[in-house]
Amino acid sequence: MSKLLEIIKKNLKLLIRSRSSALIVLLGPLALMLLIGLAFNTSSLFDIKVGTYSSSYSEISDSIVVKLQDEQFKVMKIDNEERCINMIKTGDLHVCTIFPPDLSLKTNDKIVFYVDKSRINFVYIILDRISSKIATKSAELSTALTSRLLSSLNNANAKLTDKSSSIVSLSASLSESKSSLNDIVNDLDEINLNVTSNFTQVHDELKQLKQKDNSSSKYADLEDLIDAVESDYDILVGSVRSFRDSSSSSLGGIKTKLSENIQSSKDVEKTIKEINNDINSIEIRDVARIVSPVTTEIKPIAAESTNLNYTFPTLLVLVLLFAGLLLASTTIVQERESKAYFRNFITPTPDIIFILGNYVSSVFIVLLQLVIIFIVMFGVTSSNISDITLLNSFVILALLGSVFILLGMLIGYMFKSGETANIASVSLGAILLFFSNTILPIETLPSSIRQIVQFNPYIVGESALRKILLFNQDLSAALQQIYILVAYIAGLLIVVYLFREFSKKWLTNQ
Amino acid sequence: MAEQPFIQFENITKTFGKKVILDNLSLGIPYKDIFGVIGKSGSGKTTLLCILVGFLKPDKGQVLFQSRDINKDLQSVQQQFGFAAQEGSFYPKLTVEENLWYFGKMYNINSNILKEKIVELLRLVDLEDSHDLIAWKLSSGMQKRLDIACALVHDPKVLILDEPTEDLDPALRNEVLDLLKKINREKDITIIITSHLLDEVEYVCKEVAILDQKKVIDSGNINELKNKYAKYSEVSLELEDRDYTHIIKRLKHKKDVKKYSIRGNKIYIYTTQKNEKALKEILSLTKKNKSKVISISMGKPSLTELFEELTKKEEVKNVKVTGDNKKES
Repeated sequence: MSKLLEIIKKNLKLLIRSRSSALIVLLGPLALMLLIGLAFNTSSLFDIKVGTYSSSYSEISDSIVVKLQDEQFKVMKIDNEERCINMIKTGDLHVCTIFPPDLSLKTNDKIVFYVDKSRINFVYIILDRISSKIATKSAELSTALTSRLLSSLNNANAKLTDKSSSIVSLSASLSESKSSLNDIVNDLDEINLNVTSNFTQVHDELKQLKQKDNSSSKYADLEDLIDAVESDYDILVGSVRSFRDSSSSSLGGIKTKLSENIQSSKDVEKTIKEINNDINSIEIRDVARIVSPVTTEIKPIAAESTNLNYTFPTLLVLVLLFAGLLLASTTIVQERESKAYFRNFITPTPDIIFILGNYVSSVFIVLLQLVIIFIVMFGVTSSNISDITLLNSFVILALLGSVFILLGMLIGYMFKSGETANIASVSLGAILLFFSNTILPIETLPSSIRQIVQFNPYIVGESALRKILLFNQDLSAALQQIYILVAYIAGLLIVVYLFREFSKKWLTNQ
Repeated sequence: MAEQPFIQFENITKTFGKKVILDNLSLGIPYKDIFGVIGKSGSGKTTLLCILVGFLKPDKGQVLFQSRDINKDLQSVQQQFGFAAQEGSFYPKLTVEENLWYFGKMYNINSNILKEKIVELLRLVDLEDSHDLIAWKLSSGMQKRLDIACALVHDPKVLILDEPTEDLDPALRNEVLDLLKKINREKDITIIITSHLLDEVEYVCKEVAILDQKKVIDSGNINELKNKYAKYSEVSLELEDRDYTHIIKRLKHKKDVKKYSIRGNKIYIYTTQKNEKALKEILSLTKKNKSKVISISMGKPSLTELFEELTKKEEVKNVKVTGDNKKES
C-alpha cells in the first residue's frame, strides 16, 4: 500500500512539475465547460439562414416567408434559383426554399427545400423546425377552406329542409288530383250507354194507332219523325260512347303520369330526408377538429431543459474518453521513456503495483477534472442534482473512466513513442466516438454491426449516465451496463499486465 | 574444496531471437572487490548484468548469489543488488531527495530509516547541498552520483554499474572512479562495473573478467592475468613537445620492438628486450633529438594491451575453427 501511495505521489508530482500538463488538467475542463456551456445552454437554434426563391411570389408564398422570419431564422429572398442552391454549398445558407410561381391553393405545385444532407444531424433539426412553421400556415389555410365548406353544407341543409314541405304538399296535391281523376273515370264508366231503345215499342204503338185509326197518312210524318229521332239518338249514343271511351283512355294516361309524378315527388322527398339526415348525422361541426381530427402532444420523459442538460452525459463521457485515453497513454509512455523505468523493473516491487499506481494516478486526475466540470455545471448554471444521483453518477464515471484509462495504459505499453501513442489514443477515441450515438444514431448501422457496437464502452457508459442523470434512476437500473464495464476493467487489467511484461523485452532490445 | 564465489554464473546462455548473446558462459565474482567486466561493445556485458539483477532470465544455466539461485527467490535477491545503468536511472523532474525517497520506498525501506539513509547517502556522494534540486538541473557528474546514490539507497550487498563513466569528461570520470573506491572502502559492498575504458577498469578493479565471442575468455586478478599473458615489456614515454615521429622512425628498424601505440599524450612501446636495456635505448633516442622527457616508465603491459592481445587470439582461434569446419564440410 505504501509503495502504491509513493507511485501515485510520484506520478502527481511529475504531472504538476510539468506546468503545461498541470494547466491542461486543471484548466482544460474549465475551458471545455465554459465553451460548451455558452454553446449549448439553450434549447433553440441560432442564426439559421434560409434563402427563398420564386419567379413570382404569391400571397401564400409571401405569408410563408413572413411566418419563417423570427429570431431563429434569417430569411433572405434570393433572385436566382441556382444561386440560392449554390449558397448552401458555400455555407451562406442552410436551407434554400423554392416556391412555385403564383403558389395558390388551386394548384398542386410543391414547395421544394434544398438542404445539405452531409450535415446529417443539423439538417433534420432545421427541416423539423421549418416543417412545423409551414404546417402552421397549412393548418390556417385548411381551416379557412373547411370553414367555407361547412358553411355551404349548412346552407344547403337549411334550404333542403325548407323545401322539403313543398315537396310534401306537392305530393299530397298530386295524390288528390289522382283521386279526383279516379272519380271522373268512375263516373264516366258509370254512364250507361247500353239502354235498350224503345223505338220498336214506339213503332209498335204507332202501328197499333195506325191500325186503330186507319189513317196511315196521319202517322206517316210521325213515323218519319220518330225514325229521324231514332237515327239522331243512335248517332248521339255513338258519339257519347266514343267520347267516353276516348276520355277513359286519356284519363288513364293522365292517371299513370300522376302516379309516376307522385312516386317521383315521394322519391325527392325521401332523398331530401336522407340528405337532411346525413347532414344532421354529422356530429363534428367544429372546423378545428375537422382540420386536425387527431391532436398530438409530445411530452419529454425528463423535465424540459436546455441542450446543455441533455448533452451533459455525453459531455462527461467525451471528457472521460479523451482525458482517460490521452492521460494514461502519455503517463505510461513518459514512464517507459523515463530513465527510471529500468530501475523500477529491478526493484522488488510486483508489476501489478506499478500498474495500479499508474491507474490510480490517472483515475485521480480524471476524477478531479470531473469534479471541476460538475462544480461548473451545477454551480454556474444553477442546476439541481440530488446527492444520491451525484453519488450514482460518480460510480458510473469511475467505472467508465477506468475502462478508458486502462485502454490508454494499454496503448502506452503497446506503442514505443509518445507520438504514435498519441495518434493511437486519438484514433481509438475517434472510433469509439464515431460508433456511438453522438455523431449518428447507432440505429443507422446494420444490425450485425450494431450487435457489436452496442458493447462500445462509450455507448454503455453514456446509456448508464443518461439513466442516472436525466431520468434520476438508481444504479439498479444500470446494472447491465455496470456488469459490462466491470468485465471490461477485469479483461483490460490482464491485457495491460501482459503488455507491461512485453515492454520489458522492448527495453531489453534497446 | 574450493570456496564458492560470492556470485557464480553457471553455463549461462542467452539469445535474443536467433542471435546468441552469451554462450555457455561461466564466471565467479568474489566478495567485496571491485570487479570489472570488460569487453567490446555488443559483447554481452549489459546482458550479463541484466541477468544478474533478474531483469532477464537466461535461456540456460543459473546465477547463484551466495549459493542461492537468484531466479528462485528473485525479490529477496533484488533487495541485495543495486544497479546504476549507463544512462542513469532516476526521474529527472523529481528532486535529488525525492528520487532517493521514491526508490527507497520501492525497496521497502522504513520511512525513519530511509530519512537517515538519505542524509548518509547525500554525504557519501557529496550532494548534500543539492538535495532539493530538480535532478535534470544537476551537472552530468552530479547526475551520475545521484544515480549511484539511488542504487545504494537500500544498502545492497552488490553494486552493479554499467559503463559508469561513459559520456563523462575526464575530470568527472576520475571523480566517479574515486567515488567508487570510496564506496568500496566505506561500505561492506561488492562492486561490479562494466566498461570498455580499460585504463579506468585497471584503476579501480583488482579483478576482471574478459568477455569476447559470447563467453568469458579469462578472469582473475589483473596482475596475475598480465603475468599469464604478457610477452613484452611496456615502456611508456611522454615528451614535452609530444612529437614522437623521430622515435617512431627509429623504432621501425629495431627487431626487438614488436609494436608501439600512441594513447593520450604518451607513446607505448612493446619490446622483447629486458627492461633496463630498452629504457636506455629509448632515452638515448630522446637525447639525440634533444626532446625533453616529462615521464618515462616501464613494466608489464597495460590491461588495454592485454585485452587486445587476448581478444585477437580468440578471433584467430575462431577463424581457424571456422576454417577447419569448412574443410570438414
